[in-house]
Amino acid sequence: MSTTNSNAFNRRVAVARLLRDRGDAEVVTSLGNSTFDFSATCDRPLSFYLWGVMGDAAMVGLGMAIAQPKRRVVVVVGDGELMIALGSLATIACEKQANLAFVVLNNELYAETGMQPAHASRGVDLFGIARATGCKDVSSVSTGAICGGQDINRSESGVATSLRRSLPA
Amino acid sequence: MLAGDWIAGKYGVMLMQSSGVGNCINMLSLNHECRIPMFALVTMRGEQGESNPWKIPMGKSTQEALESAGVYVYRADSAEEVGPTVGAAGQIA
Repeated sequence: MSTTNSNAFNRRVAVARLLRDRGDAEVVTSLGNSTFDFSATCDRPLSFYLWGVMGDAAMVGLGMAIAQPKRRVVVVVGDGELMIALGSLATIACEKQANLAFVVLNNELYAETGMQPAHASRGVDLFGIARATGCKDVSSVSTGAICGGQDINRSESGVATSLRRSLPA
Repeated sequence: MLAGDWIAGKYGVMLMQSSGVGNCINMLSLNHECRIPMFALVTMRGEQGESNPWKIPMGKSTQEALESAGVYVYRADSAEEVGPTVGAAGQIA
């Protein structure tokens, strides 16, 4: 997979577009590019950036969503982080917290540690896992679709939304 | 999840068994880095009377592992100690 600067820029543009109209939603981002992309493009006081505790972003978001049921919470994670948090994904599905959305930046790589191929590049179906746990509104969209205007903020109770192949090949 | 609660203005207590402590060590970075208080009640496995030998190693290192990660640990070894110890620990948290 190509990892040129222009590709990374595409993902960053997509992340910014994806959450441009989030209003007063709280956003939690996970270790690595999720935090880097989001903080670089759309920093606001209601953003909470994790730069460690890999696998923990999902549960931090769930806690925030439970504590603030009238406010929308969006968790942005990488696919590597999601693999650590599969149990958390199941817990989130059980809790049915309608104000919690989950965005997976699925570049199919461990970018933080040197672009090693991750599970998603070797046949693991993240969307199938999310659907199997009972997450609602699971969808896979490309960076192009995001930049063209698709917006999770219009989803009423999206529990899992995914940005497929966020580093285009 | 409790860290998220605290960020969003709520409080809670984590109840867990000592075998789960080993899974939490890295996550304690969040509490340290963001100054988030955490109150946990940990019931012990792997001590006197343990029926499962696989529980003994983690039981032996539970307190040391937590303390080396910066957590204050207060033990209650009898029923009479539980109330005062939990109350004091809760105040500190």
